[in-house]
Amino acid sequence: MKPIKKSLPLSCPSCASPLKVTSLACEACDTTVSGSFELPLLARLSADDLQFVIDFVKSSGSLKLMAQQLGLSYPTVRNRLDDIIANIEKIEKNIKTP
Amino acid sequence: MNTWLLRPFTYIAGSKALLTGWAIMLITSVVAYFSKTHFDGAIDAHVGATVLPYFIYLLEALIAWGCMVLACYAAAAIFARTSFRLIDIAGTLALARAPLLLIALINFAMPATVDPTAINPMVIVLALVCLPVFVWMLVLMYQAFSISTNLKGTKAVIIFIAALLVAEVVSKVLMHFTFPLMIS
Repeated sequence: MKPIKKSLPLSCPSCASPLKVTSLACEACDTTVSGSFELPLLARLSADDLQFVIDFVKSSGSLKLMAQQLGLSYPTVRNRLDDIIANIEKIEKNIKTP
Repeated sequence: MNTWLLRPFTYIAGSKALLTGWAIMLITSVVAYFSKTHFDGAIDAHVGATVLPYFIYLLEALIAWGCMVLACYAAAAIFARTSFRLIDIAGTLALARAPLLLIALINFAMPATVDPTAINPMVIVLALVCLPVFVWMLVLMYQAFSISTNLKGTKAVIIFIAALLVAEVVSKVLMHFTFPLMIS
C-alpha cells in the first residue's frame, strides 16, 4: 500500500477559521507538548505556494533562474510570485483582524 | 498541446518571443506582398488589387504591432497593480501575430473584391476559413497582454478591448497619413 501524503490543514472544516496548533509530539520519546500556538506565516501557504517560495530562496531570489529551471517564461513565474505576495498580504490582514 | 496553442506565453516571453515574433512578422510581410494581403490596422486583413512597394507591407506589420504594444503598455501603466516589463509586452504581442502568416497564405486563393455584389462563394468560404485564425490571434493577443501584465478576469478583458480599439484607430490614422507621403 502506498503511503498517504498528508497535507497540513490550514482552516477549520466546520467554520473555515484559521486553525491553531494545540499539540506537538516527539516521536522518539512520546513526549507531548500542549498549548495554543500560531502557525508561522509561511506554513499557512498552500503546499504548492510553499514549494515555490522554497525554490525561490534556493535560486537566490532570481526569477530568471527559476524560470529557466521550471521551463516557464519570466512573466509566468513573476505573476506566480505576485499572486503569492497578494496571498501573504491577505493572510497577514486576516491575522490582524480575525 | 492546448497550452502551446492558446497560452504559449506561459513558456516563452521576453526577448526570445520578440525575436521569434519579428522573424515571423518578416516572413509574413514577404508572403503578404506576394498574396497582396494588407494588414493595415491592429487587427485588419484585406486583399488589395493594387501592387504597392514591399516596404509598405513591412511597415503595416510594424505599425500595427507597435501601436498595439504602446496601447497595452499605457493600459498596463494605468491599471496593473504589479510590475511588468515592456520587453514582455512587446515580445508576446509580436509572437501573437504569428497566425497572420496563415491568413497571408490563405489569401493566395482570395480574389481582390472591390464590388460587394461581386462576392462569390469562394470568397465566403475563404473568409470563413480565416475567421477562426483571427479568433486564435485575438486569443493569443489577450493572453500576451494578460500574462505580461498579470491582469486577469473581466477587468483585464475590458482593458484589453479598449487598448485594442485605441491601437486600431491610431494605426489606421498613422497609415492613412504617412503612406501616401511615402508612395508619392
